[in-house]
Amino acid sequence: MKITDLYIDKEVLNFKETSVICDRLNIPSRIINTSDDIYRMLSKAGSAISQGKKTLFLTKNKGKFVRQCPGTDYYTCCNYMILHIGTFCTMDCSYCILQSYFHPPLLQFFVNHDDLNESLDRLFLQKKLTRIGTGEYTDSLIWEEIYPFAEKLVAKFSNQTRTVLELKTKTVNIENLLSITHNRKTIMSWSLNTERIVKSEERKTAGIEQRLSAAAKCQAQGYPLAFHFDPLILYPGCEEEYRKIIELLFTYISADNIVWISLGSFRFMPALKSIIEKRFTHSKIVYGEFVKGIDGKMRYFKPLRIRFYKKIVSYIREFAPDITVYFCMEDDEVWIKSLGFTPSEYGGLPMILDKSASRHCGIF
Amino acid sequence: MKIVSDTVEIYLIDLNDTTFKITTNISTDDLVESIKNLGLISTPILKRKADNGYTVVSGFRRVDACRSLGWQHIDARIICEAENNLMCFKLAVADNALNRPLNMIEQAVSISKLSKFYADEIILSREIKKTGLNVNPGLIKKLKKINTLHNELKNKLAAGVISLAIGLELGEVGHGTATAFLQIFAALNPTLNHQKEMIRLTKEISKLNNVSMTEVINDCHIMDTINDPELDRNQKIKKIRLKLKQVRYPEIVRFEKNYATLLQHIQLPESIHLIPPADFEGNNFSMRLAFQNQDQFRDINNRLNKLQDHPDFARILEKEFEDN
Repeated sequence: MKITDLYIDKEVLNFKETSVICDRLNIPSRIINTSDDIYRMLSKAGSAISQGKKTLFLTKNKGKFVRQCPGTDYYTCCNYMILHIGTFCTMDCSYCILQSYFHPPLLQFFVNHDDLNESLDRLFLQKKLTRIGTGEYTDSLIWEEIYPFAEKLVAKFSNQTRTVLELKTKTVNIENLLSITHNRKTIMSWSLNTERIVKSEERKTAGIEQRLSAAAKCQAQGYPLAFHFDPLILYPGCEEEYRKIIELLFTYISADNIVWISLGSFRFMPALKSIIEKRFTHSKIVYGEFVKGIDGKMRYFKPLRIRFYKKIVSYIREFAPDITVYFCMEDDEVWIKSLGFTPSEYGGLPMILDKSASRHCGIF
Repeated sequence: MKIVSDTVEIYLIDLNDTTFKITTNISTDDLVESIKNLGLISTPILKRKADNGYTVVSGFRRVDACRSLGWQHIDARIICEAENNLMCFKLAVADNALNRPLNMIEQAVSISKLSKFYADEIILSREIKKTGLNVNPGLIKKLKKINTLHNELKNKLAAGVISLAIGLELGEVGHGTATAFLQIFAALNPTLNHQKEMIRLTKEISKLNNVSMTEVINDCHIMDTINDPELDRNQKIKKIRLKLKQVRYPEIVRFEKNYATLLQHIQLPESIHLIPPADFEGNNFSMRLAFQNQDQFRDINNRLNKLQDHPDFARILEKEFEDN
């Protein structure tokens, strides 16, 4: 994690988390009253997104720590919950929605962890199963380099039985987590893609074999695992290359330890296209056969998605016929034509995933 | 600022010094005729130079016209040498902008000259508004890019042949490609949206296939289509757009073609119009029925009854026509 500019919200100056991070970073910092100053500075930067990846703002989460994943009505959502620990990412993936999600994007780490713990305590009191993750607005494990946060979360989740935490990453920052008690209440998960896509579209991320090797280490420590083929990107020869990655996955990992595998084809808000064209001049991913989806996002033409999903599902099924595979934000037509059933036949997607989490993680 | 009216010897005016020049029009024919009949109505603004000569601040064409009429002297408004250039630039813009609308190139030149004094586009927008030129900061950004365009594009912009959006788009492609598009647009006069679409599709095909945009234009036989005597203008535009779409979106076009074939198989009468979901993304098909009386309604009903068991209709609804 290379931070060149550190800003500290005056309100969190005396927090112990702030002090730890400042000591670790050991760079000059600026104390500010309002985030407007940073936003103004970033807006004027020639490459605001790149600058935002090196600019860290330590502040409070002034909203909710626990929130609903922003799914849309038409496509089937898994009712995931987000644990909102921070924003943006130091890695640089061309397709990353966060580039156009925050205005301007900026690394923020919320250090009011007492409030976060209170939110989690309230969540744990609820009488329903919950799946929650930190990897929606940021990568779950990039922060480990400046603050050993994941281990605190893993420890906290290990002491309850209703909620499962998913740490989703493209890093291999797992060392802090290997020797701690987790009681299988944390799912370690990785985004996977083909070697070609990792090389051309996922700057500063760990290689695929590194990710799988890290996953294998977690597996050895008894962690349940998950994998996300999202975004699946179509290009000539992609089917064979995805097949290779799936094969590789199952050489490292036993299917029995995988809670779920999600599939999601590349989709993006139209505003992201020009950002990708400008920041990733060699990238061709925005030139697929896209149409505007019902949620306003650009998606691959549906027959192409279905044809491709069928292939990917068949490759996974070859190695793991009973594994829980689900689609992130697809409709019933895609489900039935690609997987042979609709989520409603099994009580809905949240129920399917809850059952799998229950089976693998012992939540009830 | 102090300006005095005086009569100066015309040969002392340096028309080659274009420091303050904004106007793109160099023709003086209309002015020569007007001055010959009515005299010089509005006197040019000059700035005195150190060598006792004059730089034109505003009125290049007027001075040129008077010269061509053989005048030895000309009445002018004179700014002293010590006056700063910012005020002269503002006067130059104001004297032009308050008398006539400035074309895109003239606006770009005005912005370029004044932006040396105002780096901040918001302040520049505010200051230039005082001279009668109303350009917001967003437009200022675009106008600044115009200065980097090659002359052919600038001329087309100045003449209003192409829009600013298209001018800037073509400014980002190679000179040869831009010229090819200018030819296409001149020949077919497509709508702005169609112009944008043609450029976008060509650019994307070029990136996808690692070929130049000119090669895409050639491979799609666009010039042949333009020169096809059998087609009218609209047919040519349609054919070019379809060809580009076929290359850019081969699967979508194939799917749509197969859908059209199946639609022919079920032989719907004109009174029944089947509307598929937009881009086949959703799942709701709809129908528009046209009838004027009960008999026609009954006919439609009979056709619909037959339709419900038609295997090709079932394939349409299932969107199962990929391999048709």
